[in-house]
Amino acid sequence: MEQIQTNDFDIKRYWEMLIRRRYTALGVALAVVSIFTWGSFLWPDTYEASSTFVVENSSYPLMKDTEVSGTLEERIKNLKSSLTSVGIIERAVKKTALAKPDNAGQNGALIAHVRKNIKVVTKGTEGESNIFTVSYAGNNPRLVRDVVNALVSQYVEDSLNNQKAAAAGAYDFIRSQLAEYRSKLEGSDKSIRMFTEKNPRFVPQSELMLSPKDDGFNSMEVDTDIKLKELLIKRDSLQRQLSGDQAGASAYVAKEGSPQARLNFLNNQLALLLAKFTDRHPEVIKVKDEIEELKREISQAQQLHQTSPAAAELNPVYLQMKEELIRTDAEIESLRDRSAELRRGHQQAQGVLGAMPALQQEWSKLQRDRNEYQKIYDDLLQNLEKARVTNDVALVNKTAGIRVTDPAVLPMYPVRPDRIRLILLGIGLGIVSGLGMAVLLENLNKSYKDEESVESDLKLTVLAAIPEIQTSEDKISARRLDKRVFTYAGVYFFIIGLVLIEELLSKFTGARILHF
Amino acid sequence: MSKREQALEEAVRMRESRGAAGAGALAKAAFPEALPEFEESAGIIDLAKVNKHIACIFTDPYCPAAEEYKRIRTGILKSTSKNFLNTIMFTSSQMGEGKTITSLNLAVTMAKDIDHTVLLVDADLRNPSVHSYLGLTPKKGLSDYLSGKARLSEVIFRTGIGKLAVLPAGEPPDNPSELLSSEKMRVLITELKHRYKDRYVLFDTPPLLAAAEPLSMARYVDGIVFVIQAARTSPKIVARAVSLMKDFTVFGVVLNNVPSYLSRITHPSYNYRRLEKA
Repeated sequence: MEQIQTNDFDIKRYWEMLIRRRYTALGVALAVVSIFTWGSFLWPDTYEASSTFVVENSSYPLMKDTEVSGTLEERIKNLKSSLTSVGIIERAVKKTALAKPDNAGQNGALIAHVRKNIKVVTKGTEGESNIFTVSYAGNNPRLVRDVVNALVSQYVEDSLNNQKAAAAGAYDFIRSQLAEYRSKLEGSDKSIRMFTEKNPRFVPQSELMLSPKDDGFNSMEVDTDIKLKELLIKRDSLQRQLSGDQAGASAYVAKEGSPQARLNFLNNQLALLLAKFTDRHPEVIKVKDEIEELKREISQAQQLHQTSPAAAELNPVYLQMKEELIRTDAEIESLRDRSAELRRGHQQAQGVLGAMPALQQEWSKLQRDRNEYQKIYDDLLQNLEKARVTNDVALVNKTAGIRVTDPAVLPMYPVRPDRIRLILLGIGLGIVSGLGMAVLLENLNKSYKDEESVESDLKLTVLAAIPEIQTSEDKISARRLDKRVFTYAGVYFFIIGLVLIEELLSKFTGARILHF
Repeated sequence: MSKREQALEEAVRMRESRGAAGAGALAKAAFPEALPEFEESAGIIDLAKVNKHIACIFTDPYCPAAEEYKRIRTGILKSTSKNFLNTIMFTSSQMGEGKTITSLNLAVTMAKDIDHTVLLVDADLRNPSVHSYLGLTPKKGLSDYLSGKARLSEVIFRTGIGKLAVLPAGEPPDNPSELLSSEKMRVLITELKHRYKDRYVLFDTPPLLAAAEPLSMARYVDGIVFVIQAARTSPKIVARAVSLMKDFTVFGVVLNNVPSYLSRITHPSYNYRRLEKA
């Protein structure tokens, strides 16, 4: 409670102190407001003009594929470097009506000023297009407008020329490339032709296709060998029978199903089995046992008929056996010839397979090169068509993919100084500094203000502290002075207010009433 | 305030309401032991011509300033009554601190006291102003007396305000310092001090740091009242002036012209009378 009373008291004290120093506070406030308000008119005006344009991503068939599209920052950087290049600014400045064609120094200063003060910012994207704003600030509103418009126009023109040049360059380049690859393709065809001539029997095929042929030769050779062995065994048997067993031969040859015939069959069977299996195979052992049994039977039968050998020569069976032997020999010869033929074929196939990797490699390389050249050639042919279209489009295009949405207009209100802000700031600072000055002066005033300080400093008794005597005349006089001072101050503030209203109207409606 | 004081204040108001002639008659009656010089040269204050800063003491005895002067009176009476140190010099460190107004208002306040008569001597020969505050246009004053151009009876005036008499400065002389430090001045002060037992003699003098006269006179008076203007005079200046008075008796300091926002600290009961009435 006591604290609240103290604060309340302090506020009252400060308020009365302020009332006492009201002229100081008012004077300081007016001075600050005046400095800001009239100072803003002494500050040279700076006008800013800006133009907004949309840069569309290239719609040309060729450019779309080949265009290097960086990040937005890179694009802004590129755009800014393009727009601030000396060449484009120089051409743009020359286009403005205010540029002096015979004054290089002035134009140079203007170019330097434009380079220094031009601003390029992005305002975002619209579909696949980027929106940019170019702005330039200077003292002459007409000049800044003309410079911005000329700059954008020059940029569009330069971009158009660049695109035309790029399209023509691309077309020419693709054409030259196409010619080069055509000759490469022809060279590749020639190489293939020479290869086939050099290797007439080379049939380009894979090893998988060649192997079954080789396997066929091999299989047939084996079959022929088996058959040859059978015939050789048969011939040995016939020769053996013809050499001593004329009697037995009759039995052997005369009757089918006789032991001799059975023996022949089993011998053949054994030969076949031995070609496939070893001696210890159960089938081989079984056939051998049966053969031995039959041989014993035949031997016993021959012992019974040894009593009549002369009759053998007249035996038709013997004669038949001789014919059989001759036929077998003929077959053996035939089979041997066939086997030799098959062996040659097999060897030839093996030779072909052995020689295949080197040729095939060469062949594959030739084929690969040709295919590659063909593919590039086809692509180039396609791109040449696109380049032709692009070139045609570039020749008739007038915008270079740049659309100016907001051309620069004549700025009516300067961007600097911002008088509205300065006046408002001046009023605010004026009030603060007026109050501050009053408080500051009070605090800087180290004179005696109360009895305690006098007594403690001077060690003298304070008899009394006489308050300010204000007579009615004093009060009337003070009131009159107040009235006069505050009237003048009010009129002055009213003028400041009019200036502020004028600036607000000028900024937001473009209208000027008082023409300060 | 005692009943006696109230009766005296009432008498003053009655006297003022009757006009100048009536006031003069009352004043005359209040000086039973007055010297012939005083009677011969009695003057009458025209309230209409009195400076309004003094008038508040007449018109509104309850105004805050009047209360403060009564405080000074009480303080001085307390300091001086034992040995009756009745010659008091008012000075300050520099001009415009309120010596004249303080001495004049105190003189009026004390003159209203039924027990004392008061003589206010304007000893500021360089810049005399007591007479102008009272609306008087005396032809002769202290300088004339000291230079032998006038008799004492010709230069002391009754004011008609209580038992207050005034000795104006007279024409500003060329040698104020010599006049005020002269033997004649010393004799005059001694004479004034001892002639009447109930009289207080107040001297309004130039500032200490501006003239030598105050230090010359300080040797002859009983004590000094030092006036400081609040919220204006630098403590350094005050300290210099006070150091000059170290060999003399200082009755006290009056902090004058305290701004209202500072008065709230020194006098929180400013509106006591009004509240009482309400």
